Amino acid sequence: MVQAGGVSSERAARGRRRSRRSRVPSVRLLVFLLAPALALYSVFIIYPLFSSLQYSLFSWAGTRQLGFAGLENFERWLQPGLYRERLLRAFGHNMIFFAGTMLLQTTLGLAFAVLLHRSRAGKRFLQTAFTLPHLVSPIVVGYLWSLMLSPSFGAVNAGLRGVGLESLALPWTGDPALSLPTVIVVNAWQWVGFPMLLFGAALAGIPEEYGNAARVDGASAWQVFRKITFPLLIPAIGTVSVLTFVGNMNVIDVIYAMQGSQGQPAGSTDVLTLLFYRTAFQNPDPAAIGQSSALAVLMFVFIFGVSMLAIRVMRRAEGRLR
Amino acid sequence: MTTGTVQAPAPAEPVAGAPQRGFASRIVGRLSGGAVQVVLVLLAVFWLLPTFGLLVSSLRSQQDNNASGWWTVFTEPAQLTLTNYAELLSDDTFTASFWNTVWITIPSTLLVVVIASLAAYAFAWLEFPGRDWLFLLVVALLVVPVQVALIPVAKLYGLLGIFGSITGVVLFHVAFGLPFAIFLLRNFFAGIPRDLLEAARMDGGTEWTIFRRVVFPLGGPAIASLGIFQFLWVWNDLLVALVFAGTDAQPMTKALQSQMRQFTGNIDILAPGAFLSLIVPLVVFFAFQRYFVQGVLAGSVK
Repeated sequence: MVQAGGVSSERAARGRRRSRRSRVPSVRLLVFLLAPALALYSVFIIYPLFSSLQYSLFSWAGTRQLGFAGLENFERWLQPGLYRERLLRAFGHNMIFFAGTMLLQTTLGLAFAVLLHRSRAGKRFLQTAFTLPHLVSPIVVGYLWSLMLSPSFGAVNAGLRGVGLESLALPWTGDPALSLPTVIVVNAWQWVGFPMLLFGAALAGIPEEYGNAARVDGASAWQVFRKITFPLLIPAIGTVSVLTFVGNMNVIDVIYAMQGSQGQPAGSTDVLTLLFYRTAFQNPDPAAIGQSSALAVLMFVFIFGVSMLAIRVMRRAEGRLR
Repeated sequence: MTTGTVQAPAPAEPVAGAPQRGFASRIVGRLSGGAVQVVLVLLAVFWLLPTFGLLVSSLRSQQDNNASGWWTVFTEPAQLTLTNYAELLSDDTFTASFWNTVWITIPSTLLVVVIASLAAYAFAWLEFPGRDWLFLLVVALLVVPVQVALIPVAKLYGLLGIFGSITGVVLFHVAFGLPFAIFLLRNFFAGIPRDLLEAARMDGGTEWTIFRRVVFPLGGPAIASLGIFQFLWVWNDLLVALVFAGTDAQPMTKALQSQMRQFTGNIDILAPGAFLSLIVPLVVFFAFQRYFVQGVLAGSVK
């Protein structure tokens, strides 16, 4: 049988891990185990992927597909004009959003993890407090922070005024210069528990002897952190980066809740998924399906490309550390 | 793909009497330990404050919320009232959206857990041609953004006549939950000692009994973590609901969002609504907290 041949050559390749009594599973069993997953994959992920590509290459009149349009829909986004301005602006905001979130989330997550690692009492409670925002729907997060930041009765500005920092009581969500950083802080507030838990586990896995040995040799606490602890955390930082990147490229809810579907004020918080949402579902243009599909394809290519690259770089970096 | 086990390097030579510290440095250590604790507690309070503010706001009348900040309840506790909740719970649109959320979340979670367990078992424990390629495909599709699928699936649902229905929302969530779920469970199942499975096979167990008696019980923690994550994603989702759920099928997130758009300072509806949407995840979290932390860690093991 062809199958048996394939398996036995594979068997030779991984002889160490295999035991003598492994059986070739029956086709019926395989179908039973894999068919549900593969069917859903095909209908909801693989078919739409090709479908989107196809849609993006045709012209449209509402939901009716017209003739082949070549790269027209893509040119719309990529040639100079309003569409490209919007795309570049949203893309830029996504990049700032990613960089800002990484910086805040990683620094705070690391700080919390190091502090928690040294903490003796109430570790469980503290960990829970920092991870609690994970449970809150991003739309609710957006709403509760709008309340906190409201210029009239928001706790943030009231607190700042209360301690005499009147000049810092700013319109956090209303000023185009402040709105994006504000949304970034809110997003980091929600997700900081993730890097914290990850770094916490990595810290717990570093043998105490390493630090002790270095200290005996006269290393300061900072040197121990920089030379021993930090390098051992690099794989965790890589993981956080990739997952944060994929999450941030798709960010929409929290911004939608705080700044509306236009990414107010003055488009200062517009991001790619919001732009896609407006193009696909709030667009009077009869060519909406072609345009939004082209945007979705562009986003997919970018996210896929960067993720693959990042994973490759991480593998190499990890290889070097070992 | 390396497995999750962190390769613990051989411990360094035990250092003779390593931290031989003097009395003074012990005092400093104790003090800085205290400082760490204080800083942590302050940070934790700060982290809990916005959610606490939401809770207090939901317990104040619309007039009070429009007249002063929520922290004034500390001096005037008489402001607290359950009227907002009473009114919200008698609002049919809201209670319907709560049940829609429940009927979307439960099947989405159960289906993902069952379908992913079956597939992960095959990927972890059976040898079949093309297995590694197929698994690679599963993992690569993790990065397919939801946006790519929205329009084609919306058209497909239109043809099938399930556009706007709970079924459509559920199927979409299940499909997009699978890549992560299969990835997580396959890695976990692969860590179950091979001897246990071999022993069960020697005893003449069928694949089904092995799955039921060995893999499912041992994989319990991973399955629980996955269940919690899938539950939270679906419960808190907005985008999928926005596109696929009609008014009759809209979950709480969509109901809240349409309230927000009207933005006429309706805190008396939004604050209690937002808090009620948070209560079920809180209960689930405290019931399965252990698995939540494990899941965060397991999900990120590459």
